[in-house]
Order: sequence, then structure tokens, then C-alpha cells
Amino acid sequence: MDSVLECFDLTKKYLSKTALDGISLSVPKGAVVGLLGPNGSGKTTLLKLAAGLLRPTKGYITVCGFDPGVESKEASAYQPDRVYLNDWMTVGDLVKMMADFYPDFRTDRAHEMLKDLNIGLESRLKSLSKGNKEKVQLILTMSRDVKLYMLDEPIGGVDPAARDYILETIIANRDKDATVIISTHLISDIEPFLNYVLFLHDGRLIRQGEVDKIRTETGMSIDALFREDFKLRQS
Amino acid sequence: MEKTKSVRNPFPWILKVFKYEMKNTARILLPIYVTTVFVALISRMFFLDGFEGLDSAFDSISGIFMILYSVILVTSGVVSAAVFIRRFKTGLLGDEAYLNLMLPVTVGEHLWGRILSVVAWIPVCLVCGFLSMIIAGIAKKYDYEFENWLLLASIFITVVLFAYLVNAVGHLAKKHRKIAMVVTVVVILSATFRILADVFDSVVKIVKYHDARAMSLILLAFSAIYGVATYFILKHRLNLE
Repeated sequence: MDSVLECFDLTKKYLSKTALDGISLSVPKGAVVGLLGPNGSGKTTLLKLAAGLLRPTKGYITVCGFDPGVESKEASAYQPDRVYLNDWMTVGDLVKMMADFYPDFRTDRAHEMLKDLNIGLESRLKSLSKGNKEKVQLILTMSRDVKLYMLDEPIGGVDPAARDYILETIIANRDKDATVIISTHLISDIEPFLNYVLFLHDGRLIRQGEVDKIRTETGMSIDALFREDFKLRQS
Repeated sequence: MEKTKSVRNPFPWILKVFKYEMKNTARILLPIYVTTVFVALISRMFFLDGFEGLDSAFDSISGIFMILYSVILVTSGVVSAAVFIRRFKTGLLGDEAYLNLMLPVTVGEHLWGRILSVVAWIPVCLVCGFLSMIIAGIAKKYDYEFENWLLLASIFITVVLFAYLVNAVGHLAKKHRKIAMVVTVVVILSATFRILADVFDSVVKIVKYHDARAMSLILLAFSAIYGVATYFILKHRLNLE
């Protein structure tokens, strides 16, 4: 299997809006993929569909060869764009819970990353700042050994120092066979790590391909290309 | 929403959900039940000969304790139900659903784990309530009949599963969820009483004969219907938008 995420004619309609409009794509194995687009372009919807939290209106999506369901959840890890942590647990309790449910969860890795980011196991989730909660969520996601990580705005709320650690240590040092899809607006921060990009606009896929190839063809960085593409479309 | 390709043993997963539900609910429910028994003990210290009615209770300061105990007794039942309903709402329909629904657990396993935790707490709740009534000296002869406690347990389960269904249906509405929930309550209650009336002549007849076992069975049958309906909504219609 060379592709970890595939969708065909994927459409998702809300009441008055079409969030995704017949997208077909294939995400290559082992890449760090930038899922890029302005607000409301359908990035979160695409990841939620892959995570099985939304049902498509039309078309299909497969994750690591599975329809969204128990098997795909075992094979992939998803971090939503919001804080989902319950208030009553400590960080250590939550780590234990994740290890209880996910056989591929690496407790030692989680402890190491928590220590690096100065988050104590005994800290109550309720007392953590929003930024630290986001860090905990990212650590829980990246502590699993899976083929696909789907991260929705993983670095938006964290400080620049932690952002560097997340990108350089957590994402760059992942298993090289694993694919990471990152949805973010902070393109310049993640560009050095990207191998592949997907540009979404108004629910449509307007550009996809390997980063090096796109840079060579356009003579622009991904950040500059993004600004150019969306400046033209919004004007 | 989910397609499970292979058949697996659901019990380990149900037990895991059950374990974390019990942990979560215990931190709220246990203090409430302990408080109920404790207040009953204090009340009994003032009513060594047993409770003789509200008139005598109001005449003395000790009556305040009995009123306090009565309020706490009723509140413990109401709060218990509210805790279970809130756990369902936040855990499967709210922000925490982003954690729970990403676990490799099917919707059915999530639901069973939660229902089992409700079933496990009911005897604890009832035993503490009964014990506190004995301690406070207000337990009457009919309080010792098993059927009445069975009926109470059935009412409790039905209320909780009814609330599960109302919340699940309400969540389907993209806008005006509270109005949708109120409409759902009216529709489900109407349908429930209509079915009861058709099948058993009338609800009044059942209540009149006060057949606690029959009423419990009927309530449990409706609980099952509410539970199955909730399961299908969550499995096929849930969208965390």
C-alpha cells in the first residue's frame, strides 16, 4: 500500500454550505503533508471525515485501506483542532487511559516528551493552560506507533520554543514509514519539514504535489505560493 | 458512521469504557451517597423514637435536619440521573467525544459501557437510600418490598435512556437544538403513552392495580427501545460538526 489516505468524489454538505466538493486525492506513504488553505476551505472537514467523526454526503474515503471505523482508528491517530481533554483527570491518568485503549501507545515516549515540555504527570488537566493542553494532546497523538498521523492546527496555540520542539523533535523524528498530515496556517514554520502539499479552496482541491517539484516548477516557496494563490482568488 | 469489517469480542472494550465511566462518576456519586447516610445519622440522633410527621418536626430545630435529610435523599437520586445523562452528552456528543470517538471502540461498546455503569450504580444508590431511611427511622413496611425497589430502579434506567435518546435526537438538529429536544420529549412521550394505551388498555389500569413487577417490565421494555434508537442514531447519523 503506497497510499495511506485516499478519497474519491468526497463531498460533505452542511445546511447551507458545501464544505468539500467532490475531492479525489491520494496521500503518499511516509510523507509530511501540508494540508493548506484559508479558513473555511474544508481542511478540518477532510480530517474529520478521515477520523470517522463526520459522514460523507457523497463519495468515499479510506484510511490505511480501511473505511473510517475501528480498524482505521487503530491504524491512525488524529488530533482535532479543539481541546477535548476532560477536566477530572491528571496528565498521568490520561496517559494510562491511552495506553489502556491503544496497544500501540508508547508510554515511555509520552513520558519523555512531557518531561521535555515541562508538563508534570501529576498536573490536573483542569489547571493546564490552553497551550499546555494542546501540547498534551499532541504528545498523546504522537506517542502512538501508527502509519498515519492527522494533525489539525497542532502548533497554532503553542509558544515558539515548544513549536520548534514539536516540529524538530516530534514530527521530524517520527518513524520514516509513517505519514503526517498537518493542517495549519503557519506555513513558514512547517515548510522545511514538508514533502507534499494539498491546497484546498472553497472545498475544492486546487493544487497537490511534491514540495520540491512545485518549488522548481513555480520558482516560489510554498509559503509564497500559498499567498500568491489565495491572494488572487480572494481579490 | 462506522464500518467494522471483522467481528471481535466486544467485552474487553465494553469493560474498559465501563471502568473509566465508573471512575468518573464515582468521584461525584460516592460523596453524595455518603452524605445522605451521614445526614440520616444526624437526623436520627434528634429523632431517637423515629420520625412522627412534619408537624412535630417543624416544632423543633431537629426538624430542620429531617427536612434537610429528605431534600438530600431526593437530590441524590436526581443528581445521579443528571450525572449519567451529562456523561453521555459530554462524552459522546460534546468536545470530549473527540477523544472518546477516536478510541478503537465501536458506538455499541461505548453505549453498553455507559449503560453498565448506570446499572452498577443503581444498587449502590438504592442501598444507600434504603439504609439511610432505616437509620433515619422513616422506612415504612412497603419500603421493605423488593418489587418497589425494582420499580424504582426501572424508572431510573428508563429516565436515563430516555434522556440519552432525547440528546441524541437533539444533536441531529443543526440549529435550535434545545427546541428540537423539547419537541423530541413531547413526541417520544406521546408515542410511549400511545403504545402503552394500545397494548394495555390504559396506563391507568396498570397503575390502579399497582402491579410493580409488570410496570417494571414495561419500563425496561421501553428502556430497551430508547437504547436501540439511540444506538442507531449514533452509529448512522452522528456528525461532530
